Amino acid sequence: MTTPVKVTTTQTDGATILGISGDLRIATVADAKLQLVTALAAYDEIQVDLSEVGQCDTAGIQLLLMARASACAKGKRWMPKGHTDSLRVTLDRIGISVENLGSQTEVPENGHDGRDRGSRG
Amino acid sequence: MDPADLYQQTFRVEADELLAEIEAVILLVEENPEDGDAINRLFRAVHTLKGSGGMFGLADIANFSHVLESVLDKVRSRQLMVGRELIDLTLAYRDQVAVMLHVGDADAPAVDIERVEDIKQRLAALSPPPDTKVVAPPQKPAPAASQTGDPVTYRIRFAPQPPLFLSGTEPALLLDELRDLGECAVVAHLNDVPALEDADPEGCYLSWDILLTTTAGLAPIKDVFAFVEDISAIEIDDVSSDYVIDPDAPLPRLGEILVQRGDVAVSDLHDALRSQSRLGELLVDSGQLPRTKLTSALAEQRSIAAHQSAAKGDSVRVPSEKLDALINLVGELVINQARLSQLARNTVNMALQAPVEEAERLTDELRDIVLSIRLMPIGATFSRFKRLVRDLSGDLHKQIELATEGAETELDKTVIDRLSDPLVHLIRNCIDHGIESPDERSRSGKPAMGTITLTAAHQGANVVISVIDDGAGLNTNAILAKAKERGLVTADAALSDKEIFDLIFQPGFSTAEKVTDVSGRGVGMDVVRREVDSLRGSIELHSEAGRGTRIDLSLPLTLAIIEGLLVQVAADSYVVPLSSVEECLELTPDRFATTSRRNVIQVQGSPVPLVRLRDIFSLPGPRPLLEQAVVINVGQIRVGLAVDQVIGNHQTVIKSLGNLYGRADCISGATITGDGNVALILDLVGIIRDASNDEISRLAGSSAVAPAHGKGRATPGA
Repeated sequence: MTTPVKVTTTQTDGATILGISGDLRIATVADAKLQLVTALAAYDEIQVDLSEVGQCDTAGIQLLLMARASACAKGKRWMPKGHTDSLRVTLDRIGISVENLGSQTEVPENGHDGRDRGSRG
Repeated sequence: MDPADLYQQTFRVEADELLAEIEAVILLVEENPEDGDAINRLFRAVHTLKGSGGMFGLADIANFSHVLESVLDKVRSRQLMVGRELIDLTLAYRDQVAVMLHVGDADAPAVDIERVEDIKQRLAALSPPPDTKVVAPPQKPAPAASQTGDPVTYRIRFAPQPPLFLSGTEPALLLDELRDLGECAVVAHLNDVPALEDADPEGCYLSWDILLTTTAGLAPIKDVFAFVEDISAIEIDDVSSDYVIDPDAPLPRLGEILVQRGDVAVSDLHDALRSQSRLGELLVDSGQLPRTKLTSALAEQRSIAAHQSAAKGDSVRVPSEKLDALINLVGELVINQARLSQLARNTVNMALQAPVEEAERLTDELRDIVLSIRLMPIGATFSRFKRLVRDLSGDLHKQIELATEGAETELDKTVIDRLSDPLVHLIRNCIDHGIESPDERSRSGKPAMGTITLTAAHQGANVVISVIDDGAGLNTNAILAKAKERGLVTADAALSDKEIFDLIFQPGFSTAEKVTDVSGRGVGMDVVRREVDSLRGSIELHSEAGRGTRIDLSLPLTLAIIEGLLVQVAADSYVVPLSSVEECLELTPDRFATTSRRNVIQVQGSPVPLVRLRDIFSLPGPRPLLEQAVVINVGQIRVGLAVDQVIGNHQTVIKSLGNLYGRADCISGATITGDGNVALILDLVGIIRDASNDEISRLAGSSAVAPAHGKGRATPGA
């Protein structure tokens, strides 16, 4: 019923991409943590491919936030992309924006951080 | 174990508990239909089953629960009265969900889909037609929720504690339920989410601020959090005055507005909410929101709702095997401690005394606490029987109610488990053979409703559990006749009432005129006694024709440890359970009743038969000139045990004898004494039974009864 999480690392064009596939749920987060911790330790700039993520619940989203917090604490960049529909739906339900899954970036004085916010939300 | 299986397991255990709660509470409600608190508990239990069932993909349980939940909701809001049909249906629901839960187990029955559908339909049919009058609540004030349909805006702070996920709650579902109530803006707080390496990924470190505008009032909001309020901090505040409500337009999602205008980054929105800044101002000022203004807003006092410690009744679930291993270890420790203490007593090393004494004290305390872990109140077992009594009496068209006393009395868990079947049998007997039909009862001037009373109370080192009924009592003539018919007694035997009652415990005995489905042939009494014996307990029957019957089960508080009297016979040591010891005395010549027969002694003026352990165990060697007698009292029968020496009190852990010797008569276990030797623990009931019958029966003042095992002689006197 639940697809276990698999974390893979691939090198393309000199960049390292962390792929997360499977169901990110309370049942799988403990195992996923172990895999992620290993991957986090090894790389500095982490692009995260979420396109293979299946079902996910609040615990699963939280796991991604924890990974982000870890990366930020070490000064690494954590850049998820390929958010699946199931991810977006869950994020929406629990009141977290897609931006929040990525590294915190500076918000300039004038209130715009340069990102095109109009296309999201 | 696959994590998914682990959660399924946890769900099933908790679902079983919920079903037990549902059964117990609906029976409470049957007795007291106005008990609003019980109705709420019932609703919450079914509501929880619905939610958890849904979460684990058990749609049939979730749907089924939903149907009952809707009906219970109407009961709660007093649109529907509790009646017999609802109670029957709730019990039927409980039974079917139990089947659904255990589908897939070995030998599990399949779900009876037709029955489930039938129950659902009948539940749906309970809902009142539109013109049913609303019943006025007797004591509780009318709910304050707004029924007028005015929209009210609430700020809801939902700050769960880390165990939230593992309690089976998915916050997204709760938030969905809030959205069902009206326009909703949800913002999650992410600041407490720890870095992955240090984090427990199964703990919840998120919290939420929700703005909800609804016409449904406060109660439905509270309901959403009904089963998480124990593990989260929830604040609901009416903030309607903070917002400009445009009656013509639905309240737009705040996040959308601010973000769409590009005024505020989403992360800033979160910060603002956390700092309790007045969003109304932000909305009103929304055309222009320079960061500086937001910063000043952020400068306001930030405080997150303090988590209330919901630590009432913190408890831990422990697998039985771990507990058994712990008890075993403590047992070994106690034995070892006894040896240490003995060695310390005999050594000249004075420095050893104090630490060994301290160790003894600590071991005692540890032993007490560990044993108390296994103690549980018997109330849960008693409550189970309410359902049994209700169903069985219904089947036999009798009116019987179950009363209980001493439900809080605590017993070792194993004892409770093993007592369960015997108690069921005793209760079935009461219902089947004991309590008469309502007509018969009325004719004898008794109330038509019969009562079975279960009591439990501590008595010294024992617990006494009684099953009492106000039925017809035991028919001694019928019993005696049947016993004669079955050759259990000689045709001319005249027996006291007590002896006649005792016949019931013989295997193959039954006086039932009709064998009903309910208690079968009544052959269970010998099994009941055997079970009670094996628990080192005793069972006694009292009965009065026409008035009723009382059965007393006396059981030791703990099976693991025994307070005993250590005695020596020849080269062997034995332990006599201290709870049965009345006194010890020297067997001086003047003790014997007659000089010729040395089988009876005088104790405080009464004759007491003497049993020689030497003879029972065929121990070699000559008897000492001066023996000691330990006078024991088991089930009102007093016997003196002749031993060589009484050594002293010995508290010890019982070790089972294992398969090879486990069936030895007169021995119920073994232990290790302080000097490392093995001492056998006496099974007093067995000793008394196997001892020469004629002495005991002669002193009981009656002619001999042909013994069950064919030992002894059937001649009166000796």
